Amino acid sequence: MTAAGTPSGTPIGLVLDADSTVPIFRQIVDGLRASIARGSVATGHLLPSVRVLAEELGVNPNTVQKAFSELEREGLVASERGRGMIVLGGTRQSAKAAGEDAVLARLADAVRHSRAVGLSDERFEALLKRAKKLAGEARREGDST
Amino acid sequence: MTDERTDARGGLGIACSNLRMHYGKTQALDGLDLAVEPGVAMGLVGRNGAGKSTLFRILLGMELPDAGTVKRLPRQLDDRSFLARTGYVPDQLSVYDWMTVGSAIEYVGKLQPRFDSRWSDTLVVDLGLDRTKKVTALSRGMQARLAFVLGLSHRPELLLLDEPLLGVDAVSHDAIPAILARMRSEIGSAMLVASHSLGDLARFTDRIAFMEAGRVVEECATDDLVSQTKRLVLRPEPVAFALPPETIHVTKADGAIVVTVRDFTGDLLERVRATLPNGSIDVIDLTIAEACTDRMRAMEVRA
Repeated sequence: MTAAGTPSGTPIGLVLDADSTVPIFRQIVDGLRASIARGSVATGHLLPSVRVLAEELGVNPNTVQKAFSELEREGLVASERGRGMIVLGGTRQSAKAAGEDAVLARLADAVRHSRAVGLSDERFEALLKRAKKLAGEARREGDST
Repeated sequence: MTDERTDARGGLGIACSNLRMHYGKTQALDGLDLAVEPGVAMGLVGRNGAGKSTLFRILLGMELPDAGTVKRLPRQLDDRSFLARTGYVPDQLSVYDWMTVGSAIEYVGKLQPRFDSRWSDTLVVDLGLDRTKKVTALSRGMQARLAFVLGLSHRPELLLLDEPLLGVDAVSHDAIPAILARMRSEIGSAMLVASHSLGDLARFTDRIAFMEAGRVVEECATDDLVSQTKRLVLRPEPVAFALPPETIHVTKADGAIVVTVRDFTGDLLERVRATLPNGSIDVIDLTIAEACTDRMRAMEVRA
């Protein structure tokens, strides 16, 4: 029997933001991919089950299932009958690359957004610095709860 | 095929067709169609007075509609067995003031033929409730947790949740979604959730239905709502411009026109670009709250 909800996130460190412009499904895919890239879930090991992850994140199990299917399609994990989703060999590098692509796409969106509201690229760089600071603070706060 | 099936194992669903209901001169439901397939979590979004509470009362058998039908899926159950398999969590706990947490659960257990005391105990423990406490002494968050225990103790196959997390503190806010996820994994329960908290709907639901003036005016997959609703910023403000059919909302913002579109694709962007050879177009992602707000504004205009 699992505990109901771990406020500090899952063992693989996934934290969701329901008020983000990134759909929940996408956040789960990105988060799991990052865990694989960091080596938090090593080759040959299993991802948490749909049930466990859905409960820990407090999300729809169908959404977690969909995220697993996406990682399977990317070739990072494979479904092993009766056991769950196993992390495939040699995927750390490709997970890293895929993760970088995802960040790049989001930064490009941010640049477009910044231009759309009439900010200069210099101003954007300044905001990026502030964002890093802000994210650092949020992480420290998150750790203490 | 995946190893872990999260879909329904014989769970219930409902199909409402052309429901009509009036109170005095107010037409609360005006030809409402809504289907919640077994195992599906459906969010219900609409302003106050859109008819959400009326719909819940009809589904709970508390009122009969003027016209229209509610079909139970996949099997046609009589009212009594249907209600015995339905769980309702209201936004306001309604139990007697003198009751303790324990006696309120016992009371509901006697009324509910399918009450499962082991499951109920699990819920009490997981939600951190104290059986000896008087209901009136509970905080708003604890009352919400108790409402969940009372509504879910019979392992319902269909959950009707009316603003389940309204005014709930952060800790309860973490505990309750975990319970809902568990109900869905273990029982395959279908859900109909009315909420103004759109972030919560983004977490729990597969689909979202928009209600306005007593009908469902639109229904879509929750993920698509976030990923396919975009704002296009057209700069400089075009003099003459044909809006694409996917447009749901338009505003002007200093020197630009901002068009919110649904079903965004690269093809849509190309079509718009073709009509504006000299302008710039920026595509802005939206949060679920922004995507819903723009849709609701569009409905207001239509109504």
